Amino acid sequence: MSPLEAAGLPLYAPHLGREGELAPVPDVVGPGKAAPGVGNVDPTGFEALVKDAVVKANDQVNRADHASREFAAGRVDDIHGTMLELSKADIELRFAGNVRNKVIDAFYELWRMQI
Amino acid sequence: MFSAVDPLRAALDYHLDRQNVLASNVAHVDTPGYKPNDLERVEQGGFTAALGVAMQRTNERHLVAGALDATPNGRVFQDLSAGVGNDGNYVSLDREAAKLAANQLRYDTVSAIVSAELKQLSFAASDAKG
Amino acid sequence: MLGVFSALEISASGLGAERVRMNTIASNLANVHTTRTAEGGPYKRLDPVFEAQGLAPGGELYSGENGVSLVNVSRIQADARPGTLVFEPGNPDANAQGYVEYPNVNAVEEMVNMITASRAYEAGVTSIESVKQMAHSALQIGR
Repeated sequence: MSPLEAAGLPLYAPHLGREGELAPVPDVVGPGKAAPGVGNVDPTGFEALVKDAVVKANDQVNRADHASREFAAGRVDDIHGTMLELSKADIELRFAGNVRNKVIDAFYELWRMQI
Repeated sequence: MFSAVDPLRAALDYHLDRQNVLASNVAHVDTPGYKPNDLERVEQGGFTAALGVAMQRTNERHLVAGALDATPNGRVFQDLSAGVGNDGNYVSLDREAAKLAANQLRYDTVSAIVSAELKQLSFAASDAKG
Repeated sequence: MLGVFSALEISASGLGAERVRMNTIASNLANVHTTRTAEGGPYKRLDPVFEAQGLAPGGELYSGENGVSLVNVSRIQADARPGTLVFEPGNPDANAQGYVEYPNVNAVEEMVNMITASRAYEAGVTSIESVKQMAHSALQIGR
């Protein structure tokens, strides 16, 4: 289970992405919005926020993973560098998780307002 | 998000490099003709920073930029202020020990500062819920 | 790459060199009255010769440009100074004039060297402790 799954962030179409990588996030079709094509993300919308946070988190998690493996294998000796990468990954992941939660909360609030 | 942390990372690298240089001086207290070194900070930058480009790795097995740099974090200079001994050795153990202690303290402090910064960011990233 | 482990290696080389020095001092003091050795002639005091040697992590040789080097004991040199001649005609090692050549070991000099070597060894240990402390505080980052 990749850290992103463990954090509750959904992996759409996992067969499209390699392990640990996020496949493209399809757009959320919400009320009052025209159905956009896949990949046609409104840069000012909520989806862009989530996607951006998740992509950044994914990159940082990969970097932290790489740094830890390099250190464990003895190829690098950088203690504080490795610890920093791990901390950054933790923070990015938490940030992405919270962005996602906030976006979902906002979406459901809008959804409830329908009636 | 981490722009405040990167200069601190550079400071940690510098202090660790300096610790190596000072440890080398202490080890050579009895080597005839040895002149002790020290490391001074350089403005963060260098050739690649001046150009504003990062070296691209086009193949997995290529070296990462900076791997073979001597000390990208500091400039080596000779510190002969302790005076010369009979065998041409300029190392003073007391001076080196004082420098070692001060340098270690600075490293520890910057490390604590980095931790505090990260804690702040973590708090913010967790939506102010810790 | 300069890091915690290279600093430990450097300090360790210093400790090793001082230990060699202590051993030669011990040998000198033990043989202060040895008037006959296997090569003939009295014991000659020994002195280690230290030199700086570039670090070689992973096969790359840092030629000291980054300001660090290991300590290498290049050789243990016999001190060629003549020893003291003492008039002892009854001694089997006496020469034709009845003088025995004693080793060129000066006990006071050896004791001073021993104190210096001991101090240098302690400084090396302090160096190691401080690097270990730095590594521990690095491990606390983000905890």
